[in-house]
Amino acid sequence: MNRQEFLRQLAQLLEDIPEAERREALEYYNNYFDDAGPENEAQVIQELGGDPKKAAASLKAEFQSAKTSQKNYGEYSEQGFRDTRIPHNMQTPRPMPGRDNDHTEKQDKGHREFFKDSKTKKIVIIILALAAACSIGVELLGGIFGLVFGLLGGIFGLVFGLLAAVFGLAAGLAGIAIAAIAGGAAMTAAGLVECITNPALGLLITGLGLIILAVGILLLISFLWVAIKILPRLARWCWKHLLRFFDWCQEKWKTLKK
Amino acid sequence: MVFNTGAALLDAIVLAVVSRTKEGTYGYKITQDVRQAINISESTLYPVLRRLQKDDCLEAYDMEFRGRNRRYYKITEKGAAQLNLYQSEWKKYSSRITSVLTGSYHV
Repeated sequence: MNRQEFLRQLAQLLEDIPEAERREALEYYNNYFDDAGPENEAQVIQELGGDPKKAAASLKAEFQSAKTSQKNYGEYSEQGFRDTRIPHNMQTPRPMPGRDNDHTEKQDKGHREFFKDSKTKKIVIIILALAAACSIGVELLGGIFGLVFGLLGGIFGLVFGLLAAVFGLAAGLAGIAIAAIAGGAAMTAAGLVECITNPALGLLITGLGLIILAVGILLLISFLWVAIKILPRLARWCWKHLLRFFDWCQEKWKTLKK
Repeated sequence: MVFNTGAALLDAIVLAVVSRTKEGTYGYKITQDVRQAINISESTLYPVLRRLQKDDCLEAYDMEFRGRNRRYYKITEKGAAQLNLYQSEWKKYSSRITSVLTGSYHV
């Protein structure tokens, strides 16, 4: 088979697809032969499957899937393998209805019959005694767990305490700042009024008022600096180190398990 | 190749190959380039190009080459966006698979 023969057969095979599409496809393969060069003609035909049936089939399959808007039948995704031709609910194994209920019912019945038997009562007592012995061990385990959780809680408390302290400091600063501003302003006003009757005392009070006002404004600025710059940074720092600590715990736990 | 290449991955590879040349590239060249990554039969590529063209991810235009017409494919804006999505998805997907398969799994 040569190039002419291949294209002729392809045209025949594609007779049932739209005229424009057929022309496009033939143009493409014609181009392809041109670009491959005459020396590669035989190789190209061989790679195309020896005859145009494969090329025609894959093109038609694409048409078919474009019509039904199903690009491919099966695909692997995070949900596992899915065949798009089969309805979704038919693919995942459904839980068997009623099976678990039956199971527990039988177990309950078994329990009742079990306690009727006086011989088995003794066995039950022995088991209970063993369980009591075991419970001491369980308590010990509980103690260890308590210790671990206590330690974790302590670390959490420390971190949150630190944050709260910074918050408190900031709030205190803000309170003093506002009080100083208000007080300073009031003092300045009072001093100005005093100037009318006693200029010397009035000026002194005005000056002191202005100093307090200035200190208040300085405090307010420092509060804003703490609230905007330091606090978020501190919170982020705490969070990062907390996460790192947990990672470290996990790592340790893994190595312990090994 | 032991692992299948699904339609989405094939689309991604073709888009990536076409996007490498700004002025566009042609069918034979695309096939050769795609083949550097996966073993694809020549008859599968044309339908993919056609589909991407219909989805407005690629645009085709003809240009004179040595006295004949040659069809060039160029990536569109939509195709570039799609490729971008495929690239980020692939990064996530492949790193998960790699970490599970090679056992270098860490939290």
